[in-house]
Amino acid sequence: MSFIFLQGVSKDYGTAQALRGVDCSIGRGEWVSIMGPSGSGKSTLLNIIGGLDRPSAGTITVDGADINAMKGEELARFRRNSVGFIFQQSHLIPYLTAAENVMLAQYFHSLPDRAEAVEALAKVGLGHRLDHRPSQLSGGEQQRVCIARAMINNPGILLADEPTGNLDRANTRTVLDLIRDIHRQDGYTIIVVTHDPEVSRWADRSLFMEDGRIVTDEPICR
Amino acid sequence: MNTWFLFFLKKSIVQRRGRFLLSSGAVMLTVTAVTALFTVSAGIRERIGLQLQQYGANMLITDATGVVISDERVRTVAALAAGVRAVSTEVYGTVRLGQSVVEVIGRDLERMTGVRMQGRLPRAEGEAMAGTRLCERLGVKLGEQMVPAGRREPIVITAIYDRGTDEDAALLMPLASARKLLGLAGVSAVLLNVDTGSMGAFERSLAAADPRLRTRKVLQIAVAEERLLARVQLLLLLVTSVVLVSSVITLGSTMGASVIERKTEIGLMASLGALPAQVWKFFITEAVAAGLAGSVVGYAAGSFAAEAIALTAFGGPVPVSVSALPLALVLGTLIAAVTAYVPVRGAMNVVPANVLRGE
Amino acid sequence: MSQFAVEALFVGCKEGLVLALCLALITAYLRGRGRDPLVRTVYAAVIAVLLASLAVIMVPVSVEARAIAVKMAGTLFGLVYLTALAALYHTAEPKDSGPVAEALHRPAVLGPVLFLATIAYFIPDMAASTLYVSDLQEMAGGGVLVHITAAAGFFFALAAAYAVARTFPLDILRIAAFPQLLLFLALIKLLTGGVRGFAEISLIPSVQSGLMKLVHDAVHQLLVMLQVPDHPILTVSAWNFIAVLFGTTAGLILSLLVFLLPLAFFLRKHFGSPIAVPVGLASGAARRAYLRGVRDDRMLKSLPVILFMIVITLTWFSQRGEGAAQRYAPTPVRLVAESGSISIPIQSPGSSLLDGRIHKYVVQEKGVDIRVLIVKKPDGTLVAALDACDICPPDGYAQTTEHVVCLYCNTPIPVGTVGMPGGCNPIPVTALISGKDVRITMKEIAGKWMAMMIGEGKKGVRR
Repeated sequence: MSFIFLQGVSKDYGTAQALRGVDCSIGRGEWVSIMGPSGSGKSTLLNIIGGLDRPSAGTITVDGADINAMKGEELARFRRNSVGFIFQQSHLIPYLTAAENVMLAQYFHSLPDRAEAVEALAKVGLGHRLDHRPSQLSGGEQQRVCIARAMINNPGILLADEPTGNLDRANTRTVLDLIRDIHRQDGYTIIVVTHDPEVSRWADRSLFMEDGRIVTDEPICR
Repeated sequence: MNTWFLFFLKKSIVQRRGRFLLSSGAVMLTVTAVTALFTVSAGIRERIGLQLQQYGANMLITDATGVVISDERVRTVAALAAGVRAVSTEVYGTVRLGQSVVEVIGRDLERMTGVRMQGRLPRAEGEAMAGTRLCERLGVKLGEQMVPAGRREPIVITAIYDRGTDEDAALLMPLASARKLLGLAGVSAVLLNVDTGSMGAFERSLAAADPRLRTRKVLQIAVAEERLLARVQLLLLLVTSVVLVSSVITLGSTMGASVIERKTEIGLMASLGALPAQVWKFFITEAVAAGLAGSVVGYAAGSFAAEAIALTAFGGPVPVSVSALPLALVLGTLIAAVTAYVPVRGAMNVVPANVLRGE
Repeated sequence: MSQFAVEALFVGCKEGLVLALCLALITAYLRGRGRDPLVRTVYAAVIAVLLASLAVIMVPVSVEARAIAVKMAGTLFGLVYLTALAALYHTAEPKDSGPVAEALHRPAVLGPVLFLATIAYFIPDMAASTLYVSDLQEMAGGGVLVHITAAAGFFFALAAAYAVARTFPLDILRIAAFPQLLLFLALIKLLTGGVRGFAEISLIPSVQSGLMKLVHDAVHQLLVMLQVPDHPILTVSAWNFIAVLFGTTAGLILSLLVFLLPLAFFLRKHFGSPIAVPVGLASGAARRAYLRGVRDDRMLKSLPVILFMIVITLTWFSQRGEGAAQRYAPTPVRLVAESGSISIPIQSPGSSLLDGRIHKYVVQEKGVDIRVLIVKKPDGTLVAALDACDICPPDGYAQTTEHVVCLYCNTPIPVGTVGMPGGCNPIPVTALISGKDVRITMKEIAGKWMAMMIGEGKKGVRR
């Protein structure tokens, strides 16, 4: 059984169908990129894998657990223990500092621990910006805070939805370097949704989606 | 963990000070109105009860022409049909003390009940008790002496009393001393305790024996005040209802707007793996905090308002009602919590993806 | 007649409920720990207790044994509380360990220990309550109605509680390790362990007075040891100081602190002790999760302790005040002995000995004030006794609606039993009761008073 396994996953919103019977298998420690035009359903697929959305049909198994069957407390536990999510807009709490934003993720998991949060932020190169609010950080710095926050509870899976969409080249490079370190050193399973082929080439494997289906699925040779 | 919860809560409230104050304000208005209503009702009720108690009598006899009732006529009254237990006689009058005209009441002081006082009851001639409002007005203290206009012997204040009634502006003396001071050959009023069954018969025989005497049932006095109280209560109730409805509407929209603003925050917390209970805890605690703040201020404001209303309508203050405080707190908290519940419930039902999508 | 049956019903129901509640807790705990066979041992012990209670009804029990049974209820509470404390301090960790616990875990030892402990826990109250029900029956004039009502109440309460327990199973291990279980049992005993029906629902008054007496006697002993000279002035001022220090309110507060301080210290130790993180969880999310688990467990396990402290504090002062306002304690009328005896007219202007109230008299013999009380019992007979009992310092008695209450230990004695010797009953004296007056010889009361003063370390207790 592979680490992440989708079978017959569909999602519709009224008459529109975002996903049509998607089957997919992702192994532990793989870095997969999902590309496709707007409306192809790639973000929806990612949200469903991360437990942030529910499919209309099909099954999703992550590390042996059937996500679709979970609700309430169990689902919350899955979200905080198994998955770290990064969004295109960084979604940090605006009135908390960088360190406090990371501690928030710790709080929902178990206990806030400032020392650990500081260490995590240092690892992403923001040791000097701990007590700044998001409004005082650049786009790239904000994303790095998000990465630190996503990793703080050691989930093992990192899901990123257009993480570099709003960043310039230099920041894009920094963020991708970070993700690669996470992939190599901590053995995370990474799934990145992007429309940028450059970003896609950092992955081990690339999926192309169109109209709610996976059209191509090929490994990336470097 | 708890300290972090409070820290986060505090930051959140501070961030949205305006909304917090608006919510508290709405709660405060309702609580003020309810507290005022409650305090006035409870206080006036107590006063009426006191007055009934104080009389110990249920019938008051005065002379219709305002003339003093001689001792002989008092005996006539007492001698009438069975079922009459003469309770006491009283005198009323005024004296001039300095620049002020002061009301004087003479009665059998030993039999008064329910009086809060400092000092000792006046016994000898020339001794009197002064009400708290009189003392304030004249600026006199316990033990001081005053010489009434036109007299040579001074009056010594042996006690200061506080009954919470209009009598606080008067001077109380033993019956004999008052009669001497006021130069009265008789009494101003006779107070009786008559069997309720024999009241009618007694009134008729009294009218026949001494037609100039007028009887008033003490209950009538109390009933007049009760009617006034009922009217004031109705008015307050109307005001309270209006305020309640408007503040619930305000609160509803404030809380609703607040939750809409924070939809992304809720979605983010959910994506971080927050338990639904934890998210509820934040929002409800914030609402409850606003409710409590509003209740406390509302209780204070309501108590002041009650004083003002009672002084204006009934001529006397009412005590601050301690039992109104828990009522105020519970009411305010409840209003806040309930108006917060609905929008939060709505927000929690949305799947996080819908709020967090970036496109 | 029916009032006794009602009281018996109440006693039966109360004992049944208490039994059911304690059993529910104990069995839930044992089952949760996977010790199902021990549950049978507990039930066997309970059956033994019930049989013993039956025996107490059939076999006449001496007054001394009664007094012992009553006293044991309070002592037992103290034992359970102390054991709970020992268990609390022995280990503040979630898992209990240590040589004592290990020895106890051997089944050969654990079975009999549990059997005996269960019997010891239940039997004083059951026996004392059964004896009280027998007293009620006597006061009701015999017959079996009272006993039957008590038994009916008992079994009804048991059945009802059993039905409830089946519907709401108890997951007790989350908040109670062994020490907390003991605290629950101690609390139940304290709040419901009274053995005198309506007059004494909880053990709090007797525990209070026991503790206060303990503190008082300890100080007395201390002073004796320090050899406070027996100079009248010094002794008086020393006693005044003590009286102030151990006046009722101060005594109440001090005795309350005796309970609360050890628990408070435990809580401090419990929450303050550092948590040892197992090797391999040095850092990161797993470590935090572990810490959170330990912290939540500590919080839950401290709840019974906090509950105990709150309940005791809340109920401590209420029990003292109750009845104090309704107590009638007349000032003794001074009499002078004539030809070696005192005589009290039954009817005199303004008072009658037959009004159902206690009447007190004091007479001097060789410089010592001897107090006597006379009261009409519910059955109409006049009875005379010393205004003191065998056990307590001679503070005398006050009267509530149906009891005379020893002012020292707050023990209520049904008026009907005045004249019977033993326990905290006023010491009976023989009196010659004619139609006109009550005559008591000085030899009788002086002799008995002196004997009382000499007995049981009362010497030197001067008030």
